[in-house]
Amino acid sequence: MSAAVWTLVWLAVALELAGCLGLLVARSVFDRLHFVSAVATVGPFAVATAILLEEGWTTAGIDALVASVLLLILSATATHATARVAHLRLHGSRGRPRPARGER
Amino acid sequence: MNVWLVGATVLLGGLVPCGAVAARAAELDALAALQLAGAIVTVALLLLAEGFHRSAYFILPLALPPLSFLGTLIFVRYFEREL
Repeated sequence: MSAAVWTLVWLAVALELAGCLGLLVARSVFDRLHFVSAVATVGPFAVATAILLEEGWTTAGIDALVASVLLLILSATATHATARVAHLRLHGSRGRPRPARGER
Repeated sequence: MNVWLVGATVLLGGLVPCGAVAARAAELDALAALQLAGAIVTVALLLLAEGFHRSAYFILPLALPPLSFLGTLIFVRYFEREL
């Protein structure tokens, strides 16, 4: 195993754990979603690169790359949908604060 | 144990903060924690599949992101209907 593979694996693990700690200490839902995006982009590609370096362009390497791309696209979409609902809860549909229940 | 399996084991410790946030925070924060847990488990499954040298195990990290995405969308739809 090369030093590059070793470095990429531990870099990915460190970044993912840092994202988890960020989720724990963040205060608002938007800050937490920021850490979700970071975890779903950098870490999987570091692991996929490590697997590609170790295995080459085999089934395992390509599967790891496809899983990383899937995670990148789908996690970004889910994060956007969650942030949209959080924004609607905070500001209503037109950017104004939502009236309280029963209030016009 | 090789570096892949050790990395996966250490990475699974990241589920503890996700569980803490999911249990104690508001529902949208809990949904963010659920998304993060899905990403963590996907990477851990990649590391485990490579660590065990079984190419068939790579099916799991391929299947988890779409399923996690669908679960998140169901929750988002549910929360949106509450508005």
